[in-house]
Amino acid sequence: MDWKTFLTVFHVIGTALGVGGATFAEFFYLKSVRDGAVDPMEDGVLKITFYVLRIGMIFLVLSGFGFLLFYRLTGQEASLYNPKFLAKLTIILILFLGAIFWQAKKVPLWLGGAGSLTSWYAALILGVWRGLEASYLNIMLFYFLAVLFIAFLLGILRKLAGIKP
Amino acid sequence: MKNKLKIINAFVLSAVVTILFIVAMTMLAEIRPIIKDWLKITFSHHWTGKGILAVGLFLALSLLISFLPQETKEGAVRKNLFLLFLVSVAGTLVILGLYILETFRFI
Amino acid sequence: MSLLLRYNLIGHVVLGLLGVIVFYAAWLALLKQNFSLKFLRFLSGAGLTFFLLSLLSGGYYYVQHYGNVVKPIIKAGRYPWAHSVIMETKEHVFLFLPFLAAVVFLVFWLLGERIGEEPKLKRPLVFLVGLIAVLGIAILMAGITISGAAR
Repeated sequence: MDWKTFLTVFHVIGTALGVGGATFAEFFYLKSVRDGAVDPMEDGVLKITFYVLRIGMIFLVLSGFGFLLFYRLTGQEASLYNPKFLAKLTIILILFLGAIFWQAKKVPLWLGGAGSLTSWYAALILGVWRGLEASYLNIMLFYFLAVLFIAFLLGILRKLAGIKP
Repeated sequence: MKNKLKIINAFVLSAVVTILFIVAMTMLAEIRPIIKDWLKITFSHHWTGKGILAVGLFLALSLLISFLPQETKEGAVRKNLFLLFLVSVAGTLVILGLYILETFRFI
Repeated sequence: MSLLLRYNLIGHVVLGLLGVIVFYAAWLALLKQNFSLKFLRFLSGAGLTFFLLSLLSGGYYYVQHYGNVVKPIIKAGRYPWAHSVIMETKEHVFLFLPFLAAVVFLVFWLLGERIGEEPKLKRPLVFLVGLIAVLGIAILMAGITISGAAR
């Protein structure tokens, strides 16, 4: 197995754990608060989900920097200034800093959940969409609009599920 | 407990002074090339010189301050930790500003 | 680039990244109401070690190779500011990290039991640990910018 394949495998595992973790965390949370409280069993499930999500983050970051080193050492430095890559990096940074603000309880629920979900899926899509020709600003603008749209959708879901703000 | 507070305070204050030293040496080395040359001659590279001097200063000051007779209160440790935070942020901005001004020929 | 230089560059990036991950994890852990002191002590010790090793390996690469080979390429290329602003800032600000990490490590080991009981002592630590994580992330981003300009 060459280095590129090895890094790709870990990057995909990290993304799968992260995207899956973020998706399940959101839906488990919605289910948990329907009755107005999170019981110990639900809390346990959420904790495991966040733990898996964080493992995904570590795999993603380590393999991501592995790719950067690979590009640097194989004469592909130009890839490091690719707009799609820079947008993906910005979104991952937003995700990481968002987690801190979430932990410090400085982020409202509607923004935290939407931000996390959108960020993970955006990173996935940007990683997979090979032929994407867009500028950094266009990608980031679309990302911010997507966060607001997902926040709106999650708001509707919460209302339908009878979850009070 | 009193000893622990004293030791921590010594290291915190030393870190403050060391970071200020790094910033000052960086600025001086850019403004006065003779200092950069001295670092190069003495330590074979200016960056290595700054690093070695910083480590020496940090360890020496920490030892010195730990042996001072004054008592250390917890409030002082708290304030000095905040001071270390502020000095580090300011130091980063000063160094960044220095190189931006130098690169775009404002100085 | 020789094999030794290659390993030093890889070591510098990986060890620095591990240091940042560890201090980021410490920042997250410290923000909880009930944090594990044992975990924080382990993280701060590991982070300090990673930063020191990253400093040594990066320093060797910088002194032996970057100045003579990579720097002229960047300065002659499309993005000369990647060296004159980004690299110059990075190489000096990186020197702050081991001292900041050492202070945090000592506080967790010598005053750890008091952090949970006294919010006034916890607050400056949250700021310091956060600063280490943020500076570390900024330095990583700087490294990407510099590497991308070396063509």
